[in-house]
Amino acid sequence: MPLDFRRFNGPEDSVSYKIYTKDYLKTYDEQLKDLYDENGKRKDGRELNEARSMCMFCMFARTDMVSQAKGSAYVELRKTKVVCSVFDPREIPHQNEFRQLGQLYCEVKFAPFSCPRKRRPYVPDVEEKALSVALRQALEPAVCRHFFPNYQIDVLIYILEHDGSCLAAAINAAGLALANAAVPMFDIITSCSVAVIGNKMFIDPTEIEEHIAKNSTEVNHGIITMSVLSQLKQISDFTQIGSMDVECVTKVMEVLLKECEIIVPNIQRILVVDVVKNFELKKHLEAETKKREEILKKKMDEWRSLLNGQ
Amino acid sequence: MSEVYKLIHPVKHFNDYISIKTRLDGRNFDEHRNIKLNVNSIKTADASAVVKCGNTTVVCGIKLELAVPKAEEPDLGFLITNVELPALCSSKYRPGPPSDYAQVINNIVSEIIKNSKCIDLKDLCIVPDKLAWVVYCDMVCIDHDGSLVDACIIALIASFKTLLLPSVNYDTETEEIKVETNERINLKIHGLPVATSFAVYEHFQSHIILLTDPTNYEEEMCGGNGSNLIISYNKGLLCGIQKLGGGSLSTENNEEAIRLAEQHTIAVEKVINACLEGKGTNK
Repeated sequence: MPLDFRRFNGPEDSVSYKIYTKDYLKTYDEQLKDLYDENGKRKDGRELNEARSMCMFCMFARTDMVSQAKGSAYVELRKTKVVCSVFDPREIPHQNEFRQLGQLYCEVKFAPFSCPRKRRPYVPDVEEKALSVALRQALEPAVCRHFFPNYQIDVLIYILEHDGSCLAAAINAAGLALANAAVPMFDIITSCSVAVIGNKMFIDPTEIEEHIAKNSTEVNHGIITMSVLSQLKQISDFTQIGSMDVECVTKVMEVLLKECEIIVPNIQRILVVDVVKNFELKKHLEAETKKREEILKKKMDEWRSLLNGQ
Repeated sequence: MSEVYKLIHPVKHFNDYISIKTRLDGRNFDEHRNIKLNVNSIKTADASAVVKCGNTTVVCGIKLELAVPKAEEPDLGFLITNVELPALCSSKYRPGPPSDYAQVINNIVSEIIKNSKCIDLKDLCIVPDKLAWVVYCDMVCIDHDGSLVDACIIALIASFKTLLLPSVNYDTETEEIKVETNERINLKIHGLPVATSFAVYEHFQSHIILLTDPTNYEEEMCGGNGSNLIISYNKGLLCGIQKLGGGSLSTENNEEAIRLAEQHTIAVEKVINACLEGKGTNK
C-alpha cells in the first residue's frame, strides 16, 4: 500500500494471510463448480434468476440513517451493506463560470475491511473512481438539476461490506437518500446487476460470482449493471464489464428491466413510511406546543389580573 | 420556533437550557446516552463491531495480515489503529485526505490503546524475527454526533474480544507458511479500556459545568474542537487524560470528572459483556 503520512501505516511488506490457506489455490474450474450445485441452486441458496431484493430477509433498506445529513439511506442486500448520505446544495468550489444545471458530486468509498480478498487502501483507487463516475451518470437523469443552478449536491456513499452488486446497491441507496433529503427528482431510480458466465446468467451476483465472471475465459463473460426510471420507462444508466455477444446483451437487458421494476414497490413503501412518520411527529409536536402555549397563556392572564388588581 | 431561535441566538438558546439544569435532549449533566452494540456483523472482516451511542455510530473492522517483524523488535507483532471520518458522517468534513481533527482523534485513540497495554504485542508474534501478525483496526464513523472517542474505543474493544487468530504453521527449513482457518485462538486482552468524553462549559465566567457524553451541538457550543476532556480508564488504572480547549477546570471539577469516568467504565463493561455473552463463541 502506498505510504500515507496522514494516517498510521503498517509494515510495507504485509500480506493477507488468505494467500496461505488451502482454498486460495483452487483452479478456475473448481471455483466455477463451487458456484452452483446439481439442482441449479447457488451457494447462498438462491435460484439462478432470483435477486436478493425479492425475499423479505435479503433486502433491507431504511432512510434517516445519518442524523447529521440532510437525507440518508442504508441498503443491505443480504451481505452487501451500503450507507449513503446527501447534503444540502452548496457552492461549487473552484469554479468561475455560471452553470445552468446543478451538479451532483458523487463519491463512492470502500471501507478498508469491506473486501474479502485484500485490505483496501485509503487513497481512492481506480475502482472507486470508476464507481463514482458510474453513480453520477446514473443519478443525473433522475434529479431535477434545473432547480439548483450553479450549486452542487454531495451524494456520498460508503460501502461497509462488499458481497457483489455494489453499484446496484449504491444507486438504490442514493435514490432513497436523495428522496429523503427532499431533492426534487423526476422518478424513483432503481438498479440491478447480472453476471454472465458462459451460458449461465446469475442475477444479483455475489462477490465470488462477480470475481469469476470478470476472470472467465468463456465466450460470454462479464457483469452488466442497469438502472431504470420505472414510471418514465427510461433507462438512466447501463454499465458493462467484460465481453458478450449481442444476443446475450439483449437477453440480459430484458431480464434487468423486469428486475428493476420489481424493486420499485419496496422503495415506495419505505418512502411512504418515512413521510407518514414525519407527519405523525409534526402532529405530535404541534399538539405539545399547543398544550404548553395554553399553560403559558393561563399564567400570563394570572399575572395580568394580579398586576391590574394591584 | 425553537429552531429559528437556535439559529439566531445560539449562545442564549444554549444558556437558557443550562440555566434550568438540563440539556437539549432532556438529560442531566452527568447522564450518558444509551449504548447499542453489535458484533460480528461484517463477515469480510476478521472481527467487527458496530456501536451506537445515541446518534453517534462507529463501525470497527479488523483485518489480519502477515509480515516480517521489525529488525529492532524481532519478537513484537504490529497493531495499527486508524480512525476514519468520511465526509458522510457530518457536513463539517469534506471528501479528501483526513482533516486535522481526524488526525487528532486518530492520535488520541492510538495513545489510549498503547498506554492501556491491553494488547501485548509479544502475543502477536508467531516466529521471532520471521513472522508476525499485523492487526489493522479501522474505525469508521458513520454518524458524528459527539463523543467520538468513547464510541471508537468501545467498538475497538468489542471487536478485539471477538477476534480469533488462525493458527499458522511455519516451516523453518523451507520457510513455508500454512494457515489453518478452522483452528483459531482467542487474542489475549488485558483489561478493558473505556474512554469518557466531557464538554467543559463556562457558564457566566465563573461557574464551570461538566457535560458528560456531549452531542455534536454541545461540543460546538463549548469551543468547537470536539470533546474538551477525554478520560480513559483500564480496570481501575488511568490510562489517559486529554484536554482540548473549552473552559478551565478547577481541581474539584477534575476529581468529579474522574469519578464520573470510573462509573461510566463499569456501565460500559456491563454492556460489552452482555453483548458478547449473547453471541457466545463464534467464527
